[in-house]
Parts: sequence; structure tokens; C-alpha cells
Amino acid sequence: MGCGWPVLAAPRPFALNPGPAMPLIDVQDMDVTIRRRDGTPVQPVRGVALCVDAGETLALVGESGCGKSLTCLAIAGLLPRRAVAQGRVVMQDTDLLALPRRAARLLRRALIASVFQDATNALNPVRPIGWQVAEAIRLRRSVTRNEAGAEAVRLLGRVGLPEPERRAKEYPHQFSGGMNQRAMIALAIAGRPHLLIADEATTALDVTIQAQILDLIADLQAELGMGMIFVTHDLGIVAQAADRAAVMYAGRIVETAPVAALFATPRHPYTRGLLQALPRVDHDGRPLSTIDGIVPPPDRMPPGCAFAPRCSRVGAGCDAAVPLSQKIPGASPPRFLACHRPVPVSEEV
Amino acid sequence: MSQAAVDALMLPPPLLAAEGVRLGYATGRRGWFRPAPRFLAVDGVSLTLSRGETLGIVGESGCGKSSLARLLVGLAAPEAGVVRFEGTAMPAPDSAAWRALRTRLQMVFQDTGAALDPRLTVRTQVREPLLIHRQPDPEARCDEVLAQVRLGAHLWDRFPRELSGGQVQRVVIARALAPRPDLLVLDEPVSALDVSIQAQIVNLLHDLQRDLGLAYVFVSHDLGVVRHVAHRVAVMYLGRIVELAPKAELFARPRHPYTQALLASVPVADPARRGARVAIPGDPPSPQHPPSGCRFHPRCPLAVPRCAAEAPALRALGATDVACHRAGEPGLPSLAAMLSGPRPAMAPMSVREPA
Repeated sequence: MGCGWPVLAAPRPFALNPGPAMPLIDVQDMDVTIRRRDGTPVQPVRGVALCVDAGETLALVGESGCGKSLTCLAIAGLLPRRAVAQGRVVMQDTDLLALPRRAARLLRRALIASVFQDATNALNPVRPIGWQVAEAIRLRRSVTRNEAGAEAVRLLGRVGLPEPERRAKEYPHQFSGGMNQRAMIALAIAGRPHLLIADEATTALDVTIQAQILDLIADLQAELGMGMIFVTHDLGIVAQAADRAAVMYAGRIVETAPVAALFATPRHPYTRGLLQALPRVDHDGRPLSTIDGIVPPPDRMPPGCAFAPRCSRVGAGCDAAVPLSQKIPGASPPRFLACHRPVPVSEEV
Repeated sequence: MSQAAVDALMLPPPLLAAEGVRLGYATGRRGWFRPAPRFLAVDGVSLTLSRGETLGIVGESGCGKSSLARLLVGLAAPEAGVVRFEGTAMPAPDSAAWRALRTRLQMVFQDTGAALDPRLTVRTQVREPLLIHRQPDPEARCDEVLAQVRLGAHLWDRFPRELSGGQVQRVVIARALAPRPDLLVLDEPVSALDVSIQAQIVNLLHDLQRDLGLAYVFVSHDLGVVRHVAHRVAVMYLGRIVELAPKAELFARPRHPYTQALLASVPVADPARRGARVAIPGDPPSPQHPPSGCRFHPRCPLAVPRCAAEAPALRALGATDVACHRAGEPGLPSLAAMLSGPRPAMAPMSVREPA
């Protein structure tokens, strides 16, 4: 969609290293540890490994409390003070977690942007929308206030806000939820990020508005060549909007695969359970199959596989050791799986 | 056959019937001496529900589906029109006759966290409606319904904060079932739950209906869930029903452009059907300033001048009741066909009326 917006055509502050087959972001063995009020640590995210290429969309799927949001906050450097991330988050040949705080912040500001679920509360209620977008521009480039203001209006127009000159002077409470989410997206792309993290960005919206926002994000991604991490619990969005998906359960990524392969032949029993529990809008199904039991809380994880107590395929060895994420031999493009007793490929979903 | 003709043939009367009900709310005052402006959240809705049937009500936020649910259980009195339960008009809220009727209709609300008293154990809460309605042997009945909703007996003397979301929803359903109702009105009962838990509750509701012959009004914004539980589906837009049809008919042949848009907007969990999704432009208008004529016409690609002038009434088209001037015209293009193709760089959005 070449619409030649000067904002988007301008060079990025950081050029991407054209390294051989380097992913845009490479997260290796990342843990997030939270210190509770009584001093005991819990680890809601354990051993997460993922990578995203430029222009690619990775969906991070899982149920509430599985650690998908904390993973994103750790990547974006937005963890609350009580939480610490360990491991490696490599962008531009640099480990963001090893950098001093200030240097990491500046690098992240140039590379990463996030869009969250509740745009109306994420925006500043006492500043006009246009001012907030202009602030995001001024933080990243040395431009005058007037130039930043004019660019903010252009950006708001690009994300589909009607009458951007007038609306830029209005406040978040005067906007609908969908329009606030458009403004948040304008704010996120103001720095022309290489990586956009969308954390349940369309969850609070009605389906007709959600469809508009998904289209907008897809257009902008194509235009800017951004890599994206799309956090969602909605398997419909995964199927429609992502290239690859990583399924999280109880703080770990249990399966990573290209979307078509994941939906056709889920290999982890949890992935298969999720797909079978989903009521579908496109056909009448048999009774929904359920996953009995509940997710174990992070301080009472079973010793072996966290899914073992709920798993239909549980067997000897599942409660002995945590299954490590391994490349499935022969799968092309590559798939990763962390399961002692995976679902055979032949079994129907 | 039209809905009216079916109703005339049906004896005894349907379990629940709404006839042209309206419900309005006052909005913020504009000045001390000016009357507060009102808007209609539910504007002339008629529907019927038979014993053992599930009626799904779908629509986007602000379309009036929760207000309609409140009208159907008599928690609010309609400004116009009447709700009939087994042929008799619903008594005014809080009257003695209404309280007597309350054992027959029960409601399950959306916010399960707020639905239970945090200081009472599960057993006490489920017993409470039985004590209020002076039903015989509350202890035994309480244990019976808790077993019916398949809540583990070790949880019966716990407090709500010790339960997970799915378990809380089971308690709420048990409490609603305790006085042996004929009708449950469920307002977004599974929206807050994760997929695996949602499936447990959906299956539970299905089994309860089969075993107890309950009728459900199932309000939801999730078309996948509604497709799974409902026998008939009503689609609401800005306070009005735009389409009411048997489930199979609605999902196979949606007649109203809004229904088509809604179905086309849902991301389908099937990577093979990528790109099947289409987005209609525009925001839903504010119910305080509804558009003239057909309320969908500013967003409708099929709109003709008549749509802005004249509000369409619900009319029968095959097994479907639809409120659209153009539905059923021969050669009418489908909405998906009109909207697919390259997207404009900037989707035009309708602007909300200034407050």
C-alpha cells in the first residue's frame, strides 16, 4: 500500500544490519522472576526461546496467566520493578538484558514499540491525542514542535482517523475504543519501530472494529517491514493474522510451528486440546472436548511437565523431568516441541 | 409461515414472549432546569421462546442485548410493550407477584467475580435463594444442584476467592438452578473464561438443558459460542432486532447486511480460510443519536435512499425474520463480495455526533 507518507518514507534512526540470516530478535532461555511481598521468588516465565524475522508475525498464544504478557513486557523492558528478566534478548547483535539500563532503554526506544489492550486507559487523559503522538516523535528525532505536530496529524490520518487536524486536538475520552486503538497504533509507529509488540491489541474491541484494526496493522506491517509479536488468546486471530505461532502453557513455550502446520497437525496435547475446545463460527461441531482441571499456580508447579496433570496422553516419565523444547526432525519449515509423549502426526484434530 | 402464524397455532402459549418492548435510559444532564436527554437502549423488540429452547442474542457492545436480558427476567419494566411469561404479563419489579415468579426465571450475569458474596461459603450462597423462597429442604436441594453442576464436593464449604473462574461460574449456575427455574437468562456467561474452561461450561449448560428441559436466553458477542449453543439466534443492532432466524439458517444464509458483516468480521480458526475475513468501515453510531431510517444504513454498502428515510420492519423471508428493505431482492450482491478486493489506504470512518 504505497501511499508515500513522508513520515514513513524517512530513514530509520537505526539501519538494520543485513547480517546473514540474522533474526530481527532472538530471545534465548529467558526467565522472569517476580519477588513477592514476603520475599519468596516465583518464576511465571521459564526458559522462553523465540525469534522473529523482519516482516514476520509471530503469535504468542495461551490462556490467562500463562506468561505471554510478561514475556512481552520483558522484551520491551517494561517489567514492573519487582520483576527481573534473565537470559538473552538479542537485537542488532546486542543483548538487551546485558546492557546498562539507560543504553538498553535508548536501544529499545529505537527498535521496539508496543500496543496494549486497553488503549483508552493507556493514553494520557489530560493531553490531546495529537500532542501525545507528537511527543513520541520528538523523543526520537530532533524536530521542532510544529514539525512534530504536523507529522502527528499525518500519522493520525494514516491510521484512519477521520478529520485528523480536528481530532488531533481532542482528548481520549472523546474517542471511541476503536479510535483510541488507532491513536495508540499511530503512537507506536511514530518511531518507525523494527519490532511491534501487540499485546491483546484487539481483545476489547467489537468484531467489526477488530477486523478494521487487524487490517490496519497488516497494512502498516507490510509498509514498514516490521517484525511483529502478536499476543492473543484468540485462535481465530492466530489463524488469520500470524505466520508462526508459539503456544505457551504455565510459563513455558510448549510448541512453536508455522500456523498452517500447527492447526493441521498439533503435536503437543495442550495445543490439540485448545483447538478441540474451540467453538467454531464456520461449522457446527460435535460437543466441545474439554481440558479437565486447571492451570497450576506458578509457585506449585508439578516437578515434570506442567501439563501432565491435565494431559490425556500422560504416561511414564512425564512427571520426572521438564520436557525441553526440541526441533522436530524433518519438519520444514522448522517446528519446535516440548513434550515427552507428542501426539502422532496421523491423529485427526 | 410467518412468526405470527406459528405463534397462533402454538398452544399452550410460548414460555416467554416479548411484544414491542422498549427500555430507555437518561443520560447526563445538560443544565439544571433542562430535562436530562433520554435514549432508547431497546427499541421495540418482539420475540418468543419455547420450553427447552435456546435463543441466542448477539450484537456488539451498546446494542442493547444486556438491557433486553434485564427486561426478559423482569429486572426492569418496559416503557412500552409487554413481556409475557406463559401468557401472563410480567408483574412490576419488586411486587409480590413478581417475587413469586422469580423462582421460575433466573439470571446469570456476566461478571462472575461480582456475582458472589465474598464472605459467604459456596453452600450458603446456593442455599440462600431456597430460604428466601421458603422452599422445602434447602440443604438437600443445595447439595443436589452443586452435584448437578459437577462442582467437586471438597469445594462446597470454600469461599469464592478460593475458586477458579470456571468453578465460580459453576456456583453461579447452581445458585440460579436451585429454585427449579424454567428459564435461565445468561448474560455473557462464558466471555470471561479461557477456551478450555469455556468448553466445560458450554458442555455443562448443554447437559443441564437436556436433563432439566430448561429454556435459555443466551446473550453473547461470541458468534462461535452462540453457534454452538443456540437453536435460534436474534441479531441486534442499536436497540433493534435486525434478524431472527433458526441457527442453521442464520449461519448458512445470513439475510441482513449487518449479520453478513458480523459473520465476515470474525477471524476463523482455520489458516486455510485466510483472507475470507472482510471489514466493514465505520464505528457503530451512538445510541443517543441513532441514524434515521434503518440504523445500519450509514455503514451499509447496499443502502439506497429509502433506507435513510424509512425504518424497515421485521418481515419473514423463508424461515428468517429480517428487518431490511433490500434483503431477498433477486441478484443482490453479497456484502463480502462488495467489500473484498484491495482495501483503501484510509478506511473512511463515520464520525460520532458531537456530544
